[in-house]
Amino acid sequence: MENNRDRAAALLEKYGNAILRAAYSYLHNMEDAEDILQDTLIQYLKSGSEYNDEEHEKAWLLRVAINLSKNKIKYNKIRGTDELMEGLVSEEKEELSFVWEAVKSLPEKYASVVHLYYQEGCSTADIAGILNKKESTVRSDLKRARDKLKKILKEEYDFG
Amino acid sequence: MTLGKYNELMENIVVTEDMKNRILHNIEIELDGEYSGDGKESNDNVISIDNAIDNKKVRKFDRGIRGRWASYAAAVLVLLLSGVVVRSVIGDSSHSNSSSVMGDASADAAPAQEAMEEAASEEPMDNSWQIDSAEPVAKDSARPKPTYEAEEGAAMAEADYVLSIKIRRAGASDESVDMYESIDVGEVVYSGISELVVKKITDNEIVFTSDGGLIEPNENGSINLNATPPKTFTVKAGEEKVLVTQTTDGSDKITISYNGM
Repeated sequence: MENNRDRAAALLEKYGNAILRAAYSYLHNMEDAEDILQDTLIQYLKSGSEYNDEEHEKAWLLRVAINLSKNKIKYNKIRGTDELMEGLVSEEKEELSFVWEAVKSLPEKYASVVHLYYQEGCSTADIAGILNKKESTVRSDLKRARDKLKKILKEEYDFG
Repeated sequence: MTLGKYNELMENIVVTEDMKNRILHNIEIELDGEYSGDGKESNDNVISIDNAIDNKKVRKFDRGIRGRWASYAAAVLVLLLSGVVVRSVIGDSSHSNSSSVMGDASADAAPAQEAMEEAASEEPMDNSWQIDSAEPVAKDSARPKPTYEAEEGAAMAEADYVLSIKIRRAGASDESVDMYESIDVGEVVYSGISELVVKKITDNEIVFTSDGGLIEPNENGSINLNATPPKTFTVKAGEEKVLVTQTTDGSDKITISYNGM
């Protein structure tokens, strides 16, 4: 039987980046995102649940990571360094840093929908399942997020 | 489309080998209580920032252990102090030779015993963002923030929000909290078997519409399943309102607090 370390290593291989990115999209800080990744895996291993398929398993992990990230924001409102932003600035990727700044300025619920839709390629129905919302709400959040982003990028950066 | 660049952005966020080793190391300690990592996974050549993070991660679990020992130490201290109190009272009573004073002293010892048991049963916190209050003020800068800073942060969060929505889903032991720094008409603040949508906002109150299925619980916490659910709910500034879903299989509980605009 696989021990916890082997199981965690397999999960990291399969879902590590997805969980880390979901957490980073909330926390904007690598150290905090790493904490969330670690705690999500611990919760998974402690839960001992079995999943029908990989999609179900991934959805569970993302949901836990998002909930833990929200809690972390609540308890630790001051965020540390945004390594992604620093990297983009140092590499002079101006265009990407504008987009990242704009996404960061979105309300949390819009940012999570944008992340799951664009980065994870989740359908609105999947997102509804992960975030425990109605699909119609997800669709309207996605539309509002796009509108807000367009507005921010056009007004602030003359970029759209 | 600009948002297509979002994926390009996220490609920069990856689990590095160092991160993977740190996490596996910590998970092993957390779940198995021991580290059986092989030599190749020790990071002899990690850069200083990784060392700093690594130390922090290890401390995260150490704090749990320290918290437990701090509780035991507190219990022993209370026991010793109560012993000193009892002895001093007995000592005094030996001069006055009064048995009634001794009786008082033993009565006083009972709460001390309770306090000791309370301290001994205190659970250590294991979340990195929760702060171990039993720990003395941090001596090194790398140590996690002390309690007062966390409380200050929480107080800041309390003061900043206009609307707070706490949702405990049916069967769940924990609840999610959404703090709104601003809110617009039309925003959906709750979505479950029905939706709760902001209809009107003034300085003094906020009005929500619901498409049914939400109701205020009775005073004893029970839910009237036969009542017709209201279509609107009004929460006055400074007031807290609790709504529940009108279901038999446990209910979602939504706690709304409005601070005014």
